[in-house]
Amino acid sequence: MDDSALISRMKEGDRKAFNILYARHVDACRGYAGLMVGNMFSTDIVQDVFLKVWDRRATISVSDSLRPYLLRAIYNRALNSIRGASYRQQYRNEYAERIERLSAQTYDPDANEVIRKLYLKDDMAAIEDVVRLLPDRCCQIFRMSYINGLSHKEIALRLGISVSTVDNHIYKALKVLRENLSDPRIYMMILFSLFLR
Amino acid sequence: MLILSWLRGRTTEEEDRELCDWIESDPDNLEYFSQVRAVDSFLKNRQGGAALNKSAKPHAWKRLVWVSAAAAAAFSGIFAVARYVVWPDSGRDMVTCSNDSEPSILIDLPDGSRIWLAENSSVSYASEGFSDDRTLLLEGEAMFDVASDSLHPFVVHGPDMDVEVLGTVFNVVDCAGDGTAETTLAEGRVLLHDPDGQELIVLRPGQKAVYHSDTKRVDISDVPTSGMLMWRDGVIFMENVTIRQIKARLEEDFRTNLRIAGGGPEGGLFTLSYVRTARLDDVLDMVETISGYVLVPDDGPVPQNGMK
Repeated sequence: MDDSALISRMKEGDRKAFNILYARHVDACRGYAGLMVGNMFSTDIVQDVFLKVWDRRATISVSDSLRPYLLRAIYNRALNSIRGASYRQQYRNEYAERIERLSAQTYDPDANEVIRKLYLKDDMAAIEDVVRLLPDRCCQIFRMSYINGLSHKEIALRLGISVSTVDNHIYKALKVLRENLSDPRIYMMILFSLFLR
Repeated sequence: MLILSWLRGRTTEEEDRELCDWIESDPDNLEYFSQVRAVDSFLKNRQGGAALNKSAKPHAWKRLVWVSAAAAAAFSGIFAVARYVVWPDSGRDMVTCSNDSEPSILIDLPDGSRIWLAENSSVSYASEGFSDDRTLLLEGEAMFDVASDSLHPFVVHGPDMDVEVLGTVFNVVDCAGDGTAETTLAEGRVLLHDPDGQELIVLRPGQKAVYHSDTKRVDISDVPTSGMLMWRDGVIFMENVTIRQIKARLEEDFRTNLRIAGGGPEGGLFTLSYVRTARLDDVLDMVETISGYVLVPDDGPVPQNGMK
């Protein structure tokens, strides 16, 4: 069942419909909130936002998809709460704090193309397209790290290479993914430069 | 590579400082950093997720081609709005682009520069030879990303102020009749002139100049430019603003009067963002959530109990 049918059932007070919507969106929301406030605080913000949706179910002006509403609500809450004193304690030093604050601002769900694709559209196909085309070794290391969840050191041991070589491959993959996700028009160009290397 | 070390929590304080300096030195660096981080974080949360192991769909290639074709169609749509008029003093043919209804439209200029034109604004420029004489007339608000060409200065004429670009991203608000002109600079350098050609000031990135034509005074202040860059994408972003500033901005954007119906903490500063196409109800709800203030349309009904 798609969001719009569930939303209209939720508006009539159907708790089950709300639960399905919750299950469908909560992971992406937590991931997105975690990006801005860290995993420790993301759960609270996400629970708050969902609670608010249920409270306002009768008047909420969402009809086809809940995700854009959720992400914007999280974005606004996160930006306002990272100013609070309790957040300050989690930073290692003043530079880490400045980096976190600056980057949090850039995660607008509509203005940031990478966020839009990943968290708003769940566009896994865009990632698959790029991963398939990574050079073999890079692709293998990428999968060991992000799919099998191995640490860089474990990968280095298994493949008999240095940790910094693993770092290099992972970083290269991230760079290519970021470039491809932020602008589809330069897709061809990146592929080209990969093959030339 | 420092970025990767940072993402894995392996940096020293000295390295954090180095990364912070790099990020703050250029908005592009910040964007680069935050996007790499977003991708990494997304993938880590998906760890073990079956989605990546699935074979890719055969339509992937076609879909990408289609995206760029759609982009091209949107561009020609903008040029269809353009009409020709005559340059007021030289008799040269002019192209005028105006934007009456969209949050912002993108215009590609012949020299490779780009303009994001705000609602109710227009720009005019010579239809031929623009690359040699980069002169524009602007009325209203626009953001410029200017192709660098040191031999040909890029000049924006407004009713109250002229801006000469020394290469870069900046924003101009100059509406006829109000006697003030605003310029905000994100990257590069720009030089401001009054309408008589008198040089006023050179702006640094992150500075905003407001020129009052009656008193001939220029006020300079520091502003966060990230909000300005989002405006280009149809997102309103206000940082460290009071509830009154939020109210004034919403009244202007939604063309309605608002009233504060319930209190929040006195003197609080907030950050608020919304898309231009958002509904007023949703934005007001967001304001209540982040600030505690209840705003209602002035002629509308008062909620039974704003504090719940």
